Amino acid sequence: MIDPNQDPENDPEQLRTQWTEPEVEHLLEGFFQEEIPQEIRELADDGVTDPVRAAVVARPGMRWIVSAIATSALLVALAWFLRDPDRHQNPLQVETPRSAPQGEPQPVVAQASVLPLLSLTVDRFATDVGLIEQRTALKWETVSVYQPENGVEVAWSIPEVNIELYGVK
Amino acid sequence: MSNQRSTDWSADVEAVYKTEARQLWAMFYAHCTDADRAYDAVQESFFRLQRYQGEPIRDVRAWLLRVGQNWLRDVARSKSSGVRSTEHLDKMPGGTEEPSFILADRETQQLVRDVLGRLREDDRSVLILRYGLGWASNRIAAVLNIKSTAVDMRLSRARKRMAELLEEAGVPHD
Repeated sequence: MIDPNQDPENDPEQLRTQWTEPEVEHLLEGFFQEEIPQEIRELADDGVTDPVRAAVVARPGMRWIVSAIATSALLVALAWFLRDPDRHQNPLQVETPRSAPQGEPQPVVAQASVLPLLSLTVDRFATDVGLIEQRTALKWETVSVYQPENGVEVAWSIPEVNIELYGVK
Repeated sequence: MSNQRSTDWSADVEAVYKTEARQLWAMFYAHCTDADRAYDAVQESFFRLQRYQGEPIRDVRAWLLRVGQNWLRDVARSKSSGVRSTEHLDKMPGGTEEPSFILADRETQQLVRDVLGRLREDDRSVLILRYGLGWASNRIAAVLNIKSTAVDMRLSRARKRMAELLEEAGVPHD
């Protein structure tokens, strides 16, 4: 027999079966933990798809386009590298063991050579103090250092950017 | 040459599987509310993609989704199998949990599954993507092609409806 005066909010039977949204969330999290097959759970989910792969699968012809782009990029990089014929003869860093010198260690011998200019850009700016010329030069420098105490010679090549400002009269 | 094409294709399909299978499983689950069958649909759709030799596919994900959903419809039409996996029963003899607890859990799991089955499919989809795969609203929005605010609204509506149905089904609290 239902008591019409009873407040459903205070009825323990009513309260026992009512679900709140946070409870539903909690229930669903546990539910899907059990529900998702192991094979699917084991797949990594890094939040990104591989658009290149997807495009290749979508259009098999894309494989050739992707290959062509990659090859072109490689050729451009190679051409840039070979533009200065001396650069590839001077590895970026080389350690060449030598026989240790006799007697006291000699001072470190440093040699530096600057190879021909790679590029030079000249810009002129009109400023409050007059015309200013900016020369930006990109050079390729090779430095060689010999360490007599351990008989090692270290050579490296580095790009060098020189920016010079002149006042133009 | 043909072998090379086949190897490349397999690698591509495998890569797509790794990135798309979770989401596809969720969408198929939203369709049929049967975890094993949804997984079979994922396998079937990728199997067909692997063998596909027709016209270029414009959208692979949509293609896989369509193939899997068609397969699920065919399966539903051809057999209304009520048989479910009984792996849980194999765990009972050597397991540490009481069989009654395991069965109670299974019963609750089935009740929740039934309740989910009574929701609209688009509500089920957002619930699975959020609570099954743990996706944020913006990611769900991108996949379902709706706004992020619409995802939040749909989630709220689905949770409320779920609460009503759980109450109606008498699903016990923890």
